[in-house]
Amino acid sequence: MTIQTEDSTAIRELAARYGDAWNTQDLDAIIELHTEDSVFQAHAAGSPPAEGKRAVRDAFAGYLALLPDINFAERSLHVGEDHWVLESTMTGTVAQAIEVEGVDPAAVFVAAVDEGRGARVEVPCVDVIEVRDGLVASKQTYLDSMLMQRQLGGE
Amino acid sequence: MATVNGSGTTASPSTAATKTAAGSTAAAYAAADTWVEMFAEGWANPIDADTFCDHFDPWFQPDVRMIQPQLAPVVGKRAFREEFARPLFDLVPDLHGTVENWAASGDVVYIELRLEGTIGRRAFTMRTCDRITLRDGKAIERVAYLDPSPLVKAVARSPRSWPRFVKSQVRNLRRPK
Repeated sequence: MTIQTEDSTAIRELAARYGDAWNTQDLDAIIELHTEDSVFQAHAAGSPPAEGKRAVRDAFAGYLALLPDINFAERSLHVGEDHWVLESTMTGTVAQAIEVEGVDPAAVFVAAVDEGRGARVEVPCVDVIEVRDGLVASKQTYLDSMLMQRQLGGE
Repeated sequence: MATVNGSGTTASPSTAATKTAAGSTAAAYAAADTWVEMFAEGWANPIDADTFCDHFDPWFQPDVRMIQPQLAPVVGKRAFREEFARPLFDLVPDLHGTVENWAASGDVVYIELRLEGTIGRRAFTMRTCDRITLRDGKAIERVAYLDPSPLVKAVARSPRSWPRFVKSQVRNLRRPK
């Protein structure tokens, strides 16, 4: 038996629209696809969860300000009845100076650096997206922030 | 799936609901469901590295490949035990995890896992999304998507753990990527 529903087709279309919105860096288009009570968390660098559409919008705006050309190149997409999982490679050019916390596993120390502007980041990423009423209700993003920090010179 | 759905999720904004996926056959879904239940039990309260590995061992293919940040890929059950689990539990003896969510698509399973442990006196929590590829009901590949910085920061702030951590890193550096 293959579980294939109309819903999964609709979710596949939603995933495509959502991906396009991100890859054109269109914040209004992205947030339009979210429920009012959306939640978002990037599981990286201690980022706090954003709860509610306004908070999610603010969090996304921060990412777009940091990486104005942010792009998620799809590596695999798995679609279910109420969710999708996207494995992608996230790339972007850092547009503003940021403070990153560098942790060098070899030397074991923690230091703060304030640099990275103009750096190119490229990290594997997975998004677990839950859908309700045809909109994104939850976006959980997993990426290796230490890899990003190394690319920003934060070791 | 009481083990999974009864995990008492509090930290995660996402639900702990299990999910089926388009394209999954009933058999594939059943295999995924069984594997996730085993996975949840294995992470719930491991006694030590060897009992942890003993639990997982029957559920891995002999040439299972493990890919994770900060470490070279680990291939095979013996390498999993000696190069991954033992150094990890040596560093974090009370490491345990709670499955918060999972999804299956054919032979691929995604598991969101909350890991908790203590290094020195520093407790840490980190969350991972593991992609497991099954062959004949056993894992042939595991790719972990996670941010290891909570663990590394706990190490950095617990000087007594440095020798164990450096030892694990040196072991890793010696191995071909």
